[in-house]
Amino acid sequence: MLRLAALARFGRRSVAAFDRTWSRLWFQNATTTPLEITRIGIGGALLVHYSFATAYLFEFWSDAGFMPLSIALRLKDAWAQSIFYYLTAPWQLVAFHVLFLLCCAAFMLGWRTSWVKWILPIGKLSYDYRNPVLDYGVDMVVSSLLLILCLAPVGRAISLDRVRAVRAAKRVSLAATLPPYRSPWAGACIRLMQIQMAVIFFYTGVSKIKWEEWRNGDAIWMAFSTTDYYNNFYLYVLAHQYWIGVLATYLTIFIELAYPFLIWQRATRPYMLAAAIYLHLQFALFLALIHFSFVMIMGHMSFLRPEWLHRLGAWWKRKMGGMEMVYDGNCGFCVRSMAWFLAFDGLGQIAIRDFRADPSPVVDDAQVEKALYTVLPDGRALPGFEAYRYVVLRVPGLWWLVPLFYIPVVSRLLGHPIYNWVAANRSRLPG
Amino acid sequence: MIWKAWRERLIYLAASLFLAWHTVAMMLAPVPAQNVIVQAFRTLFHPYVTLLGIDANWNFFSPIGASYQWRYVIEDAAGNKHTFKPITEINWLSPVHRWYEKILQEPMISPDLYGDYFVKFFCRKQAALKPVAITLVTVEEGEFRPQDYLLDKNRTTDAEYLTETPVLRGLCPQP
Repeated sequence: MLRLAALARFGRRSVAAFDRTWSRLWFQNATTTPLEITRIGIGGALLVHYSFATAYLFEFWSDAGFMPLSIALRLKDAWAQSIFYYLTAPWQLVAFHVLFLLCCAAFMLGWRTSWVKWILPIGKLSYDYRNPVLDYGVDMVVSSLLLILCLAPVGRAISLDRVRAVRAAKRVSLAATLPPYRSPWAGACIRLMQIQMAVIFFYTGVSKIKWEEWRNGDAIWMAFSTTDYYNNFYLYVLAHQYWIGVLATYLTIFIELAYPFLIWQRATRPYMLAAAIYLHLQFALFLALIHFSFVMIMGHMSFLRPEWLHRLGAWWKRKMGGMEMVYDGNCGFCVRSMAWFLAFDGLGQIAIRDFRADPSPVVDDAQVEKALYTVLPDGRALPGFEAYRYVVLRVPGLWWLVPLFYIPVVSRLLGHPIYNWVAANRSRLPG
Repeated sequence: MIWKAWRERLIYLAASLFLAWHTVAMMLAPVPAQNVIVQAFRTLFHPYVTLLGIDANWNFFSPIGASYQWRYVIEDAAGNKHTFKPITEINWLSPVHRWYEKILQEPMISPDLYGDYFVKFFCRKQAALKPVAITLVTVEEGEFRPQDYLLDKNRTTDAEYLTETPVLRGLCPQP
């Protein structure tokens, strides 16, 4: 009886220990930031990639092309599904393609991410299965990463969805802040993507060492001397210094085999991550595998530690110095504009001051009556258009406005009068 | 309260089961199918990995293997022959180049499936030559060592490295 009780206790303890380990492995309360970087990258890569395909839409994926539906259906696996098995009219193909490209853009920007994210894997698989001939390894990588991104709560940071949420809070009170989104499921999805990347590298490395050219160190030479990658300059260098090719061959295998084992340790992760990114940059540079390399690098982003990103943000904030925007708190339009503007300031670089409630020691009230001011770290104050111009270059969330504010001559030529008109008529604008 | 605690446990359990399932699927998908032990598991996971497009073997650049060129030869009414390497017409940096690398090998590998389409396609493309017939040609590039390069030879153009095999000859549709 005693032995049975001890056994039960041991069983309970074992289960509890397993549960704790399992939770620590998978369900760490994490922010979605690494996944958001992958989201932006994959969304952008798909947008560019399939934009190029637009001119070839009918040639690649319609009955008018070289892969009629009858052949595609004959080649397909019983479990493969494509929306283009059912949408066969040319207008349907065009309509879906446009929808897909718009969803890629929305996914990249993080706009309505929670539903847009489902269109992407459906579309991607539909293209892949409708014409399996076009499939490359990178298509599988994209599908794998997209699936994980779909399951993950993406769009909660570095996204327009986040901007909308912050703006809504700021419209209630400009001083309001939203804590970063964290969840155990975000941690699980990050882990899943990490395992996926480790699996890809492991099998890539293992499959290479089966082949003589990789074991002998000839693989790089052989790759560069094929018709697809034939390049006189590279061959000249490799033919004269063959050891470079041999070293590159072994280095490739070494990185691919070491990565799945050494990427998990705190001490070795930065080196393995740097090595993997270096490897992919080489592929992009020498083999023109730009899309593949970019997608893989985006997958590796799942290994970014939150503290690295935090340190990077803190460094940027320190480097740029503080900036204070002095605005008119009595003007509804100004408050609304500030809420919109501050929503993009993810790093919290901009301090604000309502001169009506808290007059600025640097800029007198009469000046702020006429225009908004930005007070710089050195004590200088820039008015109106120049105030915004200073800020957009220094706040990463506002970089998308840089082209608008920094077109030589034109920006200032148009920006000043537009700003002055808005400032003069701000009481009449909706607040 | 009790229901909430149970619900959380259930969600945790379901999430755990899914994560375990997906991880096994990711690890199993690239294992060679001829592995007897793996075969049974693959049958179980096959619908899942196929439906989600994650059935990959991750064997990038292994093997490097032989190198092939794909050409077509247009015969005009006067009996002249014009040879084209279609891949060279596409920007190397564009994703379209990667697609065409794959597309152009298809009529050479499976001429019965795609030959007819490409015969018409290339004839239409070279309509200015008033083509009568077209031959699709696969060209295998022979072994090429650094010593060959140092002797100023070129694997992609020198005849000694190239073995041409006509795959398909077709008549161009006449207007």
